[in-house]
Amino acid sequence: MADNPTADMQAAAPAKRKGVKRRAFLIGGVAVVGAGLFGISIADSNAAKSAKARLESDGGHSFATWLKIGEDDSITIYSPHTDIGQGSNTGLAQMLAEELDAAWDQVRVVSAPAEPAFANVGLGRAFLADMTGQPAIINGIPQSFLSFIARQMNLQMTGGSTALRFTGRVTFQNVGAATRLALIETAATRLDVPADELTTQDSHVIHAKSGRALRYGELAAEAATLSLDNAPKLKDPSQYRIMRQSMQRLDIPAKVDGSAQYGMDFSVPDMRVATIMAAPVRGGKLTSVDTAPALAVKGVEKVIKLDDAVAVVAKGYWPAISGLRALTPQFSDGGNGGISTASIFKAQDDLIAKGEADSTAGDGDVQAGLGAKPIEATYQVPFCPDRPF
Amino acid sequence: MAIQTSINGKPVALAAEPDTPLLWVIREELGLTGTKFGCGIAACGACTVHVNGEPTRSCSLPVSEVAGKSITTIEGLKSADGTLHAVQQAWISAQVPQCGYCQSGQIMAAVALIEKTGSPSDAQIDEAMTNICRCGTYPRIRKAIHAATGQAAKATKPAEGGA
Repeated sequence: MADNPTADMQAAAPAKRKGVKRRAFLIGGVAVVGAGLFGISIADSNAAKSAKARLESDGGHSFATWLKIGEDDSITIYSPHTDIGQGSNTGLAQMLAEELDAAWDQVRVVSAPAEPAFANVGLGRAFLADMTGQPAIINGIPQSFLSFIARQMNLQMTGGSTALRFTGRVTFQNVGAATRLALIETAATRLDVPADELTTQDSHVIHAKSGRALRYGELAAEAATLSLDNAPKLKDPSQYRIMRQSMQRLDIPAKVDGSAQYGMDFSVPDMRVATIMAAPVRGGKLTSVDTAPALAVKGVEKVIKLDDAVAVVAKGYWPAISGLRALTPQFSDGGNGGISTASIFKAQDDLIAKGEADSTAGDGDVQAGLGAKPIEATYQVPFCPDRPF
Repeated sequence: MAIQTSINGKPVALAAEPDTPLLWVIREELGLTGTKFGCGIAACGACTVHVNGEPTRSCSLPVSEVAGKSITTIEGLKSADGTLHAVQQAWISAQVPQCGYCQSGQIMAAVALIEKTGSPSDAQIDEAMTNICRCGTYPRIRKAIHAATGQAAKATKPAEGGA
């Protein structure tokens, strides 16, 4: 049962914090709209068709949104997650390539386009199940509805170790396995042999009896027209060749020759660069700014006054930042200039004293855990967005 | 008033304002985005390039100062046939980068160090490699520099056999 993601989720379900559970209940309550078991997120849909059309426009044959096989045997995997060096895209590729029996040296990963056709339905399903701790409810939601929600939310997110646990196990392994079955089915017809006489290895379908083999690349066009198995059988871990190996990360070569693209490297023709200075205090407004010093900088085209910020638009980064530095904008403090860590702690204490604060932890069994001896301690964390380290 | 210089072996005439830092000319005028913008005050080293072979923080060097000089960026390290520099190969073998943002600068600093010292000691690495890596890849950087110099030494003495 190791390959059944639902079993994992059930195991992980207990020990939810109160706050999370309450939110999850609301989502669960709204979401229960149908019955019937659903398979894995590789069903046909308008979104999947749109993804397929887009991926195939530059050659190759698309399978279940996330995979493209080229006639040259290239394997392209579209990851809906951001990997900035954690290695998750390499891991996702290993999971799909393993079940596909792909030749690892032909595999590459690219970022899935940020558009609705690539909404991460499998993640949405797994996330709901994990959050509610009630996979049975989620399993009752029709796939089409989950897909609809995922697209409505433009669901493509990275966090909570969900890439491998959810997208990898719920979607990518199944896409790999189902595609492998489609390739076998195509080869069986072409070689005129029973499918169960065929095996797969290194991007080939092999008929050992007759010593014949077909490349995935020469089967892909036809296999891509078949509808994929919604619940393919996954490999037993004892058969793994690619998973459970420490592979060289696929993103590293581009990071040693300068070709890796970061956000700041993105460019379009005639692009302009803007720099911005926001009110230093939250809630503050821009009260005045003399735009002339920025406009005097060669290359600056425009100074834009916003409600709570001022921006300088220029032909490049250097004039844009030089122009911004030349400005002396005046901002109000929105009444928040006196806020400090101490005043935030005091406001929290006041709310707790009035009973208006949310509690996200219970007492537990104090007697069993700590015995009779009282321990008192107060822990406070200062305001700190996204808790860097 | 174009500034004449050479980038990765090719002569270029730069149109940028003379006070523009070399970094922005490399990234925006020449479109070579492998050289990164980090701190903008020559502290972090993400923008390191070679100017006449010297590792130089391009974010703080006005382009007027490179007139007539020879500049090498991360894109210029490969040989003409596309083969990676031994340091780049060592970076892959040791799986050095995590996010990778600082690594162009790290590699340029390491190449300059190796060209100067041949086979740098740990103390020389500590002294020369002042580039900052927020992911903390320093142990792998050190390992890769040692590996790269070992590889270079072997290449000149084929009788000792390959790795």
